Amino acid sequence: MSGYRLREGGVVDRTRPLSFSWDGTRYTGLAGDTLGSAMLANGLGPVARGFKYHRPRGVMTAGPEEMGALVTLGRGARREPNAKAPAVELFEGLEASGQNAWPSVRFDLGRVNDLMGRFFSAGFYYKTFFGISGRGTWEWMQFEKLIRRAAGMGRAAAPGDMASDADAYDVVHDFCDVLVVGAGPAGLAAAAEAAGRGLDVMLVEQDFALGGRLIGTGETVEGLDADAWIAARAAELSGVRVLRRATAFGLYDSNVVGVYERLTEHLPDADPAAPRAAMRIVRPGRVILATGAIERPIAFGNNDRPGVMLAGAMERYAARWGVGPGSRALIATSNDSAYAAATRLAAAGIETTLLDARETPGGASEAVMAAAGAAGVELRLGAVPVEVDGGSKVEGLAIGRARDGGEAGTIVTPRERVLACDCVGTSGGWSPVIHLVAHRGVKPVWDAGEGCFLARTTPEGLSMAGSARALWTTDAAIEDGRAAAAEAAEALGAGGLSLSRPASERSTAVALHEVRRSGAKTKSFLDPQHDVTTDDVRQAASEGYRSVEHMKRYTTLGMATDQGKTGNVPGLALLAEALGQSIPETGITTFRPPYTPVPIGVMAGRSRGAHWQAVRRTPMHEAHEAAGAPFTDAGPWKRAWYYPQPGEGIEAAYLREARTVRETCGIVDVSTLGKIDVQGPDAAEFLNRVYVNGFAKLPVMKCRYGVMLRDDGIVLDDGVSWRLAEDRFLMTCTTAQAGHVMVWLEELLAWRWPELRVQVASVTDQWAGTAVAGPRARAVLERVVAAGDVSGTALPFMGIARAMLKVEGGTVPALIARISFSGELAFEVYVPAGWGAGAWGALAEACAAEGGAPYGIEALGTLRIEKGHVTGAELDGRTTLEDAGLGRMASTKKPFIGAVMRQRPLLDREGRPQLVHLEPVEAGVRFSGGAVLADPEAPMGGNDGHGVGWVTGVTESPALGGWLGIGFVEGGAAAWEGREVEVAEPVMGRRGRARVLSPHRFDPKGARMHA
Amino acid sequence: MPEPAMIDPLAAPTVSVPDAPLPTSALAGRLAARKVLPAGREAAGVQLSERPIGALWQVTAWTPRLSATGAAVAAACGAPAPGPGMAAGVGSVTALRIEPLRWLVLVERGAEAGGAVVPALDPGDGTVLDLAHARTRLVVGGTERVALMARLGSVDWRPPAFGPGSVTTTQIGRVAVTVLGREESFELLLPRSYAASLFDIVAETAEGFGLEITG
Repeated sequence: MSGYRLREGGVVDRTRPLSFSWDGTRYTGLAGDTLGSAMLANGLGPVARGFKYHRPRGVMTAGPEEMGALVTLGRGARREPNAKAPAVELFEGLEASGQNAWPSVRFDLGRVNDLMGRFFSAGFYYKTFFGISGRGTWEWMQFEKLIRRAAGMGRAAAPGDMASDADAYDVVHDFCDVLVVGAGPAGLAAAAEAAGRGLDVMLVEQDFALGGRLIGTGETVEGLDADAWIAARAAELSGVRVLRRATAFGLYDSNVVGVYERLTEHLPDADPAAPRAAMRIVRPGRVILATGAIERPIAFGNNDRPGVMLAGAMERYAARWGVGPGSRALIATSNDSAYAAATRLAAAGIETTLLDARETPGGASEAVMAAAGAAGVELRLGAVPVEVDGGSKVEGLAIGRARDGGEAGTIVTPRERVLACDCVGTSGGWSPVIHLVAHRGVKPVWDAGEGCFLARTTPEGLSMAGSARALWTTDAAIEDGRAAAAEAAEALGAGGLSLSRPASERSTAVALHEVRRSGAKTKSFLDPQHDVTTDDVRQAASEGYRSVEHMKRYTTLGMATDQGKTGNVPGLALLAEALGQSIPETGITTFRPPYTPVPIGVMAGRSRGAHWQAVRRTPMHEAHEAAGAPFTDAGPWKRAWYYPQPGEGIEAAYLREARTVRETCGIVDVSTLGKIDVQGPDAAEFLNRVYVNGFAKLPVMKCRYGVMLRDDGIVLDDGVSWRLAEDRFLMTCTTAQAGHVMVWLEELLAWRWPELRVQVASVTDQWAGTAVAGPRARAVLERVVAAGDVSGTALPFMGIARAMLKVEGGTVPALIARISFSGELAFEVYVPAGWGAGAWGALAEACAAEGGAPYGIEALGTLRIEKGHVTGAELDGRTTLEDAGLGRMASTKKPFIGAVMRQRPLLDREGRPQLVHLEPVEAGVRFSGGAVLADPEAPMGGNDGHGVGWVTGVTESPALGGWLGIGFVEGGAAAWEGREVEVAEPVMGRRGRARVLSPHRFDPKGARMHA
Repeated sequence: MPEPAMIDPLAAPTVSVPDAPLPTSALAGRLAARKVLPAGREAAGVQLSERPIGALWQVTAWTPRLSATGAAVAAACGAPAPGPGMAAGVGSVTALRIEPLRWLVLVERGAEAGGAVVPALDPGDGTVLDLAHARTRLVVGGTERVALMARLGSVDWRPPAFGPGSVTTTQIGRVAVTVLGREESFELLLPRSYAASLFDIVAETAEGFGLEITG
């Protein structure tokens, strides 16, 4: 490119050079530069390649609206693609590289695509790859893989580094009275005014410097030089939380604003452990959007060549960064703003010609023309750009006359002459940044006078100020910002003088979106980022994509990181022209968050890796760890899986543990069971209504197994409730359903039975539970009980006892219930959680002394499958009481939740799936949980191929011998006992036969647990 | 050796049982003193420590008996029963209004012995529930404590919005945590089973401000 550093000017620090690398070569910029300005200052180009045609691209703008210079930053796990060079703050050691090119952006073999451009017009792959052989979708799916590989811009991380994001991020919650978005003249004035009125103010600015387009202009503002004015306003912000490098990317309900704040990526020696960025969720009392406006380009032939820029960007590079975009500049415009750009460049010694599509009178104001003329700008009125000459850089600009201007801003003209130049600036008007207010559902309204879309209404608590409201002069923007702050102060009751909003001066701009060369076709781009041309829009219209939303998706105009910042208005203007309708009739596409890209990592914040979900540990967790137990997840809980002895794998360990329980005794941590304290004079009545079986007459210090249904008659959960007093129960529920049950009980008390005097509260974390099971279980307890009676007489089956346990360092109180999940003589011992580890240690020692051992949930599963007890695997939201073999529990003497709906014909029908045991017909054959059961004698296995049942759990069974499954079969054991079913596991590619058996084969009389 | 006296774990302040060892902290193993200072920081902006709970009673009123229950809470904490979102107390007892009909009565370790501060509530007025073992109290102090809390929960933690004596229950790490504002710190009542995991989240987030764990 033709850029270079001017000998003077700019607000960069010329005494502080910064070294950076571009595609592996070292270059030097200055403190205060962006990567874009440093690239221009070093004359780098091309710096990027187009998405589709791989045409060379340079820096085109001076902000996040950049559509040309998309580059990759960093490397390895910290590699970030699609960074917009003008929005990247330069720092010592910055590494940047080209993307979407091979071998490099300077010489890219992909440019061959440009030669075949006629085949790559809008929708080319749909048309091409759906239809080559006429096989439609199938064919598309084959090509899709290739297309996906070719698509995209840059890589998120180098191959092999994609497993994780190396950076940390924070999510921060902020509150303030007033949030001002944008620190240009309007935003600075608004923030200072609001702060001066005593409000708690936050100011967010996407740039690293305050002042917006004023920076370095030397403009006189309220009697001060522009930079002095910025400094004066900044000095008034001492109590304001000013966030630089922070982009308000989304506006949500209740005016919650999402802000992406970059914290360390501009630092050369950032602490790698420090958060790279933060997502700030701001909840302000009022929002002032001083978001400015974005200049629009003019589409003409080869308007994407390196060296073609927005006119305002040229001005900013010269004024703020002391960078000249070239030595001979041509600026094309249809409004007054480009005169300032031309004047600035001419004042910097750049030979400058300005083409104004307007003729006088009615065109440019005399003041701007006089200033430009005085600076030495050559003016060509009524002239328009037609085509850039040059391949990888601008070598000249062919111009034409504006005589054929159409209503929608299109001019068709021949090349009349070529002007020599090395850079071209264009200004087709300005688009106020109304993205954020549009996020709240505000429909932009086309203002023909201003030639832009505006937000004519704003949601409550939100206002706009400055050029975001089409106030184009600095004075008006400042006045508007202050008035917006005064309005906010009044709304918040802070008082102060009311200020009036300034009126907009009518613009003399004319619409100019495209200049088309008559009699010839050259590519003219609306959206260089996606290689969308003016012809693409016309083609979309001709193919029936009449809706602007359809056109957007068909052509990709304004999609992805661009979000239509520059090309949307020209694109829909051309669509309107092609359809023969007005811009308001055509409408505008919907702006959605984020305004600029936000890393996924910043949305996750700390919720990643081990912190993705907080985990729950039982009070005995460390004891299990010390015993070498691996853990398995049960919801958020970590549960000890098994306790391997040296040389043991999981199977050997759990079989040993299960066998030990049957033969002597074992202990298992059951602290994860949900525990709910139910208190109040109506507690018994409450449980009586919740459970299918009766609880009203349960004696104090007795417990009872209960099952509760949902309203629709399906089983919700089961568990044992302990009656500790006339008016108090300790309800236990399954680990999986504990939260659900708690919410359900609260809902019942709050809405259905508010007359019941019952309080429920979770006490899951208050108690540590250990189950002691096996023939020697009572002997184990007797070893640790210091006070209390656990004899069979004092503590019968389903009885409860108070006791004091001997633990290391003293004695602790406990509640003991005689409950069995394993089918063995068993007890559940609950102590306050802080003594859980001590109690476990004492019980483990006693258990070992009786020849027992701790067991994990794998063995627990074995024991319960053998016994035919159900868990969450069976109570999966489809199961009725009868399905689970518990139908006889349902009381006929009282109402309970689900009592009516469980009698629906569908739930009450004969032949529903019922609980069974399954064992392989052939020795040594195994099957898995989730396998489907089919009737080998029925067509397609029964039920039109859906099978007759399924397997819910499997184990190797020491007690019953061999592989054992539990599951459901239609009709249950009554219909199938002794018969064979086919066990199909299509995912595993396995099939086999199993014999259906009763699930109550192990100790069917319960002699062991009643011992 | 004489048989120890039977203690009803439902009725007594359960951390002060005679002859019982001190309860094991859910944060045991995480509280070893250490300091993490990121580059450029000379002092830790956040201090974390556990403050053991002596007793923690959840007191809930039957709807028409709110004032009677409030009187019991006031008697326990030595100050008028606090209103919603507030805490009050004298000396070693603090009452926290956590729900419209519900308080927590928090007693400092050592002051619970003898059960003098068990809220004396008539069952006709409401219920009392011991949660002393169900919560782990994490104290967040230091000059950057407000900034840290802003990264943990969506509450305006700055005074006066959340000054000393303020109480709220909010999500931290997607777990419901009750937070009490003190003069120089926040006290987080963490559900015991989540305490270690939440401590890790808090500590990792705090490291950016400079973290000192003081035990």
